[in-house]
Amino acid sequence: MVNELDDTIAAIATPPGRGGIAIIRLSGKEAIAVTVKFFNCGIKIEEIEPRRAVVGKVIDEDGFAIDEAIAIFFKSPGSYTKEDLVEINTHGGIYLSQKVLELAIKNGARLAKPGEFTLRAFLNGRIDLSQAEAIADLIQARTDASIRASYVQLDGRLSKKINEISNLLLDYCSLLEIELDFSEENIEFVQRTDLIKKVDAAKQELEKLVATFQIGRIAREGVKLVITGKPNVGKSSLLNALIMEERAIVTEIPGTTRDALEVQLDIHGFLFRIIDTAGIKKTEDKIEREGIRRAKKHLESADVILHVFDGSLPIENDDKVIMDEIDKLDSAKVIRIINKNDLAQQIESKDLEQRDTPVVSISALQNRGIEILDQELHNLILNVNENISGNEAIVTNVRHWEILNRVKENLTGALREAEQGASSEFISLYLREALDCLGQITGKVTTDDILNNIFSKFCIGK
Amino acid sequence: MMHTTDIYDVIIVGGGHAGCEAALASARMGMKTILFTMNISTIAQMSCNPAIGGLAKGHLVRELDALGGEMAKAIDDEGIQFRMLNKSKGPAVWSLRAQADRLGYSVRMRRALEGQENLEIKQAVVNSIIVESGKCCGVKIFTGTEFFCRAVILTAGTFLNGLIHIGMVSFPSGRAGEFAVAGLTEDLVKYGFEALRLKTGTPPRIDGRSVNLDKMTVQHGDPDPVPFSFQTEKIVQDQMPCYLTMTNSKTHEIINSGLDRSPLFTGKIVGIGPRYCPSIETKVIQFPEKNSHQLFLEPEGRNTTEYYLNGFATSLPEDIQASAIQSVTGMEHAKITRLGYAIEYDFFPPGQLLPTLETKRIENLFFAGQINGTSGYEEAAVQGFMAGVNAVLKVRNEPPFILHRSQAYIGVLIDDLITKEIYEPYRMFTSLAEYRLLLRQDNADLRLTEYGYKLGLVPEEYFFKVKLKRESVHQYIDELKKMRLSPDKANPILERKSSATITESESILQLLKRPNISIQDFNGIIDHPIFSSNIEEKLKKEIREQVEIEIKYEGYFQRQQEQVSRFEKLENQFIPDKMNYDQIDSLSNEAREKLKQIRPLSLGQASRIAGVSPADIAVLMVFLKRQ
Ligand SMILES: Nc1nc2c(ncn2[C@@H]2O[C@H](COP(=O)(O)OP(=O)(O)OP(=O)(O)O)[C@@H](O)[C@H]2O)c(=O)[nH]1
Ligand SMILES: [Mg+2]
Repeated sequence: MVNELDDTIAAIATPPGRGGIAIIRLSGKEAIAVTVKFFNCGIKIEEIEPRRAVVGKVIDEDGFAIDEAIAIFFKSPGSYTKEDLVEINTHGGIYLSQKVLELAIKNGARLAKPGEFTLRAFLNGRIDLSQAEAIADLIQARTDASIRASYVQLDGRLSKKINEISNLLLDYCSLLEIELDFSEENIEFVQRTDLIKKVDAAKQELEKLVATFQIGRIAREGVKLVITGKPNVGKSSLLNALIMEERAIVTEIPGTTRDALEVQLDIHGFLFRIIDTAGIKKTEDKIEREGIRRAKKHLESADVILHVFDGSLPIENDDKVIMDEIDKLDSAKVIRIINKNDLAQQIESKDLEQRDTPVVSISALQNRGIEILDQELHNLILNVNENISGNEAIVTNVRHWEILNRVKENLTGALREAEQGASSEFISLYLREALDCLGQITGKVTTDDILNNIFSKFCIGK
Repeated sequence: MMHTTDIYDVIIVGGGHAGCEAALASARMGMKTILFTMNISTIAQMSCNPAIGGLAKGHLVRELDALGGEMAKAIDDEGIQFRMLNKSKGPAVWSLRAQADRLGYSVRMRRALEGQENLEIKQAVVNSIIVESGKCCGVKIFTGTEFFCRAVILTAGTFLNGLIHIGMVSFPSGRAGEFAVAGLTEDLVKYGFEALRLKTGTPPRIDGRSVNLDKMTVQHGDPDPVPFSFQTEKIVQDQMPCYLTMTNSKTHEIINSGLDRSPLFTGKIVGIGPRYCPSIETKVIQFPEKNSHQLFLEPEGRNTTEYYLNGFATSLPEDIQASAIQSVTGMEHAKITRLGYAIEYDFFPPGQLLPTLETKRIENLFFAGQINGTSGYEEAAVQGFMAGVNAVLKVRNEPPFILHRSQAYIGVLIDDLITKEIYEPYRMFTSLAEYRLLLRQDNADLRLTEYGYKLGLVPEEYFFKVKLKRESVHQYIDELKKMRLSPDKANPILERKSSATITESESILQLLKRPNISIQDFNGIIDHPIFSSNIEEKLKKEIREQVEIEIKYEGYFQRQQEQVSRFEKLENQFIPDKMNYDQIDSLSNEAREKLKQIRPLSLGQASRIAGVSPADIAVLMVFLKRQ
């Protein structure tokens, strides 16, 4: 539904960024009621004082406290939107803020559309005319951009999946409508068992899609970043530089690192599991060989690989062997790093540039170029979700995820009706709402589309 | 130039289903009304099939009845077979359909018109309208005489430049055996109206003496026929059966052999026909895998042996019609009394209308019925009624009467007409009504009688009866809520209905929510008037039915009610008449053009225009707020 005006909306109010604090804002009649469902501050809802910061725990759907957060409650009309409003301050990081947003939605809020808080503030008379002047344009630009973006953003595999589901639902909606509007016709009506089977299959597809929503996975596991390269190129030094702490042993002896070392770090709001591994080369040393085997194993499950080269040396066969090795793993994102750029360089960036693999020149020793690497990692991570699972369609966008969840609920409703032997119009009530929801991703499906579908496939009309 | 000295309040041009309802509504509201028809003998003629109602259309008739229209009462009097369709489905999609005595219906409606105070009937062709400073103030008839008035309602059906096709023969005609109207379209186009062509078709009529009905499947009406009108106590007349037979591959072969002389497939017909009512030749070509199609022989009336061959609409040449029909079982010797034909006619795309059916271009001029691109008697009748009412309100300078999509199928119909683009003759379907679970034929009286009463079209005593009905339904539901049934009383009944038995006493409401349990199962067991086993009076039966429906489907109705509340929020945000869309920069160009063209009355209507996006609606919302 478009432009609902007094339901409860939620969104992340701070731009995504590294560290600091993120604010999740909820506004609408149910804002407070929704919040207390997942924000446990030990105060009864009636006793919450407006405009007072309250510390509490964010409780996830399994009942675990995932963060300590601060919430500020505003009562209508004393808020920005003039509605009941809650601001939840979490410990920054995309994961946590997304997670809180996710919880807000699961507990009854709706994801706000771009500019919707401002729109409400305006419609409720909170902000004045001069401030409002720009809003219309803003909404236009942003909504268009976001709709276009989210449409374009739709990964080919995902859009294929969603279109498949949407077409299937359109077909079944049509079949049901035929039973209602053309029951006097001499045509075969849809078998309930068939409908249940197909809709159930669609629902399972949706469940799979919804489950691919990556925020959950990254939350549990973090982004797995593996540092690799031949021995002595400065892998351990890089790890230390990234975490700004001397955690890994660094020596001038090749083969220093044997067993992999894992360190966790927050980069731009994402949890990273950084794994320093043994340098890869041919060797007879048993311990070193075991280290290399483990290093390769880590590479296979990496989300991001930092392949380190020693810039003071020319590219050697060992480097190339590793490059080939990485090429075989098409699932991970790779950044090539030319280290030791404080020394005379024998490798240039262009020697390593290849398709979309970024190359970054650094000095782990002197902490040079680390911010650039940081930035590259940030860029990468925004796309990483899409590539993590290879050939499977996955959902990366909260809006899509929210819509797909609603579709799923409606399919559950449709199945329940069908299984209970309800008449077509009741099954249709849910199927059509599911189709409406999907329409927000694929473009609107109208009654005319349903009728067109009927007329093109069935011989209707006395 | 000659003109009459009388000044009328409302002039209606056309005596079809739209014109009759418009004229009656206007006259009943006390307006001095005159209806022009080309032929008084064909008032309320059923030009296509001799039936009223059907899926979704039955809803329209009931709604019209609740508002104070005539159609339901007329068909109750002149119906020769009544059936409630979709009985196996939920109550929202049940729909009444009746076969009519074609001539009887026409005479019955003419009687209503002639018995109506304030209403004059005149046989004359209207060739042009009279417009002064942008307002329509009269019409000019074929003799040149002018009639002046305060509002004109045009309900010219398929008569405007009607062109009939039978095979490669074509000739101007408004309907088989009647003249077409030339000049009126051109007159309106002069004022800037856009006119387009549509096409529709009708099947041949058969001499009943020439067919063998024994070889066909007989189809009877309901044993206990339900009337259309809430005010009709009982259908008393005898019913007549229809007969079902099928085409076969031989029939299809013959049809195929005539395609080279089909006006439809040789490109002679340019108007677009309805996909839901295709000609037999279209069916044969588009669905070659089907080697048989249903045909219904529907009696034309009580006093004739003629049958209407439903399912065989065609514009094939005469010889093909004859031989194709004779290939059908039971029709081996069938004689055609009247040939099937296709008709092309002018219509005015209804985007040119306001929700009152008044034209945007010329004030006090209203369009209703088939000239708005609809098909069907019911669709025409409700438009005629709404145009009639709104013309009167306009004359009286009172606020218009507009029904929302959430209130009535009538609202859906008119909103679709004025908002969507019409590509083919528009017909009502239940799937077009997004809130159909609430817009049922069984509760049309509860939904709409009050409006009819306030308009002065429903008598007070009947309005009180409906009030009583509503109150009783609420009261009974409240009472049932409090009543519980013990296992020893309930279980024998539950067992008989193979429904799960209970171990503790259970609320009756809960039991009634079970799919195959109904109020009448508890007759006599519970001490409450609703469980009395001898309810005969119609009103009491209706109350029981409402109580049962409201209880059984409560959950669905609530869900739909929530959808309605969301819908109404936008619907109640009005866009001012003089809105200047050029002033709003952030609208997309497409939206701006569409908005300027349609000029929606509310944000809700705006949101339904193709090409207007949610972002455009947000922009409008902001803009309106700023005003
Ligand atoms: N000049 C210079 N030396 C560096 C730089 N980074 C690392 N080194 C030196 O290179 C040598 C190897 O560094 P490590 O970090 O242990 O290398 P590694 O790749 O982990 O080696 P293995 O664990 O043995 O595979 C050490 O002597 C470091 O001091 C750099 O940026 N510049
Ligand atoms: Mg090392």
